[in-house]
Amino acid sequence: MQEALFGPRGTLWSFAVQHYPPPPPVKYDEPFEPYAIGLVDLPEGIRLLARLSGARIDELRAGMPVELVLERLCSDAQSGGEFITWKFRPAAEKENRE
Amino acid sequence: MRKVAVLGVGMHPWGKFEEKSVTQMCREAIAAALADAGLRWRDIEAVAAGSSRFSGGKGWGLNGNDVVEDLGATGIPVYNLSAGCAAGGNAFHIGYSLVAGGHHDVVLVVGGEKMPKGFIQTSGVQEETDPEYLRQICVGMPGPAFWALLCRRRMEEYGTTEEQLAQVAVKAHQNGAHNPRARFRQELTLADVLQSRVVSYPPRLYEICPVSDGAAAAVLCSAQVACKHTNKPVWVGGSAVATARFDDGIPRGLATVVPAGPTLHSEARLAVQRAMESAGVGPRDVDLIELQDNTVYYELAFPEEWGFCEAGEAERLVERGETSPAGKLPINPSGGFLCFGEATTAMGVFQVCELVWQLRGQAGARQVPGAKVGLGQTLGLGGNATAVVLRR
Repeated sequence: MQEALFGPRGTLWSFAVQHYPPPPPVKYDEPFEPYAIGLVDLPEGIRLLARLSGARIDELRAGMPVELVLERLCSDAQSGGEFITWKFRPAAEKENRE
Repeated sequence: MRKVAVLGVGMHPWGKFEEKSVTQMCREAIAAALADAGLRWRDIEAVAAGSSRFSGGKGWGLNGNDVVEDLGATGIPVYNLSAGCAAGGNAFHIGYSLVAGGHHDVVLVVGGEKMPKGFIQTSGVQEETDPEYLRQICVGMPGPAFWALLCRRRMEEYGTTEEQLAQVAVKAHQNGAHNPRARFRQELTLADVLQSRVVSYPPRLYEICPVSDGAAAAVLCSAQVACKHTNKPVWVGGSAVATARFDDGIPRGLATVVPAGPTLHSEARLAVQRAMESAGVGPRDVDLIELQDNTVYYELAFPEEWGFCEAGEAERLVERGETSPAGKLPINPSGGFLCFGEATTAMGVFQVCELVWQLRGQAGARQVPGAKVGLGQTLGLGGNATAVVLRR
């Protein structure tokens, strides 16, 4: 087993929209808002599942360049804190090296 | 390897049966299969059963043991097979192998399941080492969203329209309307499907299968036994099991590799290829396919992944009616799981029942004319798949 580092950029392979409040153990903030889930291809050869962020659902397209962000997933009622997860958002055009 | 025949099949109707136990549903399916075979319970030399996750089996997936305790503890060996939605197909393959390998002359294959309400919670454990659990905790992705990802990619790649997706469901219900064991027996119009609510865009409610209770059974036997009971047996041409390859583009957990080519559902493709190879048949020889249509997407993607049509051609086949029973490539004349719902571990045995009825010419208004060779395929959690070729 070897550790490997991956860059923050990738290409959206496809995405889905979660329209209904999913059953446990999925956590979300009330009231439920539909969200997008993507499969992102990293140039290093990994295809990664991730929440999508920073774009309206109708702006998402397969093949668009995206970049990694760490963002809030939802609040944690037990601790009063919040859960953080990895997400991808549309990459700024000029920074795109794809 | 010896020749193996499917001597008898039986199925409990699929739907919601609050008042019945899974054992009772299996009992009825088995009684029908034994009567169809012309055999008695005492003739069964071994049982291969799909391990249910949701019902019976003492919570350990010991569903074959439930059957033996219920029908008569004759001391026979029992094999309980777990492979997610591929469990029934897996049990069939073990039953087939036991007869083909000369271990037994008569083997019962059975799958039965009563499903909890609502969408399936795919992970059975809440452990941070479980990829299915992580997928939900970290990304918030339940099962139908997974189908949506694949479906959306197809739409972007081939220009598949919402109408074309809906057309698959319309065709399924045209077939299901003629199947007395189906849960949903009403035809749907394109508008009915397109007006059903979006579950996880693109798929709509009528474009994914609901969960059902169901059971199915098959009696497998050697050629010697078969020829005593019938002069036109249905033979197992080939049976195969496969698991997903490393280079598959569909993540089983949170990530996978970016495949070099269009490599998706490698487990299903490998199982189908192996079963067809051992049967010595190619796509042109297959008269009908019963494939696992958890959602309409699979009915478009699978035929081309298995070499039955060109990439991106499946939509046109559906539009031209070629996947209907009278078409060039009949798919799921039973109505499929869109009309039956998924009773997960019974699905592989369900397909064997329909293939046998089709090959015998007993499928009534959904009959594929002159069917001689049929292909069945399952796909299960964990990267499991099975395939079977039956022939007359």
